[in-house]
Amino acid sequence: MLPDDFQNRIIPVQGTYAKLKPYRLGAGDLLFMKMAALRPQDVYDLDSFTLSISDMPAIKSGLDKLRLTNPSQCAFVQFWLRQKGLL
Amino acid sequence: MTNSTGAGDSLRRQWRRIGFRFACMPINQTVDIEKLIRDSVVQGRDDPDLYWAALAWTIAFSDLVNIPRLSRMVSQSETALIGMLADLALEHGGEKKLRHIVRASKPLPRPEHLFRIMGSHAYLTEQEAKHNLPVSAKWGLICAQITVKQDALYQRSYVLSHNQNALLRALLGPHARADILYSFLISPQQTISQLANSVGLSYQPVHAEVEDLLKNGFVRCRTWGRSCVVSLTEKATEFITALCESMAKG
Repeated sequence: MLPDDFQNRIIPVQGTYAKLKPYRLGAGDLLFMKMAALRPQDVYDLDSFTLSISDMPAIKSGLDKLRLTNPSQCAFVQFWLRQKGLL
Repeated sequence: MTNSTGAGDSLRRQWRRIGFRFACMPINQTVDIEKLIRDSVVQGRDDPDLYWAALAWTIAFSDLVNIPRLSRMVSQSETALIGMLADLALEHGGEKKLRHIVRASKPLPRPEHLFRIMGSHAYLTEQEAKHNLPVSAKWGLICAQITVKQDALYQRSYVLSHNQNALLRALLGPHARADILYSFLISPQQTISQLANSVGLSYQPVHAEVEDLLKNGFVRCRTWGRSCVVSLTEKATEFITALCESMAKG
């Protein structure tokens, strides 16, 4: 699951391409995807990663979406972010 | 993204060498396939990607695994982990001989999370228990989701051309003989005890294999003092080297 406004945060990929204009997701959007999937590897990754304030707009936007589809998981992610001092 | 430790990094480099695309450089040494599977399954409890690598590789290349040797390597406390891996591999098209591991393995007496971190928070624990898969429940484990990373595997030709031990197993079967012949490519002159040590078997089965190879002219034996030093004959060396070289060229 991606935040609805992820396109506002995509980053151009450096390099020379003939006809392509590639972009990559921002770090906050990637981290939110892990929060939404919560597979074991994602939990380990989230545990070992340091979130920065610049990641928060993407995560907050994602949480708004997750609240509608999976409120209990959203509550867990919010709890986890609070533990990390980010909410 | 990864939570890998030093041991995890070494296992990842070994997987890379035998054909699983981890983002790291492959190890230079020969990979002990059964040891790698066993170590990845054990380490995988704290590093899930290793467990999934072992599963994907076992599904695709179970014909290259020495199943009895793998069974012998697994300790009592690890049999549930390897039993579940073999069960999953069978479900996804692995060779029928994996049933040997399933039969020889025992479930855990009390349920435990396959991936330990999933027991670290009430919400995760509850979700895992709620969606626990029948295959994990059978082995006394709790795991709600299986990941089969078949698309991370290299082609069989890559695996065989980069791993002469796997190539000889593909030709002769994943048995002691293939491992003994490969051992001579690494160390051309060995006593039977040294051979037994390098292929991870006891003296007796290695002695029996060497006797057969001797009878058929593939190896010769020279007595130095009290020890008998075994080496490949010229023709056997030529044949095996040519085979490995032609496969390496693709």
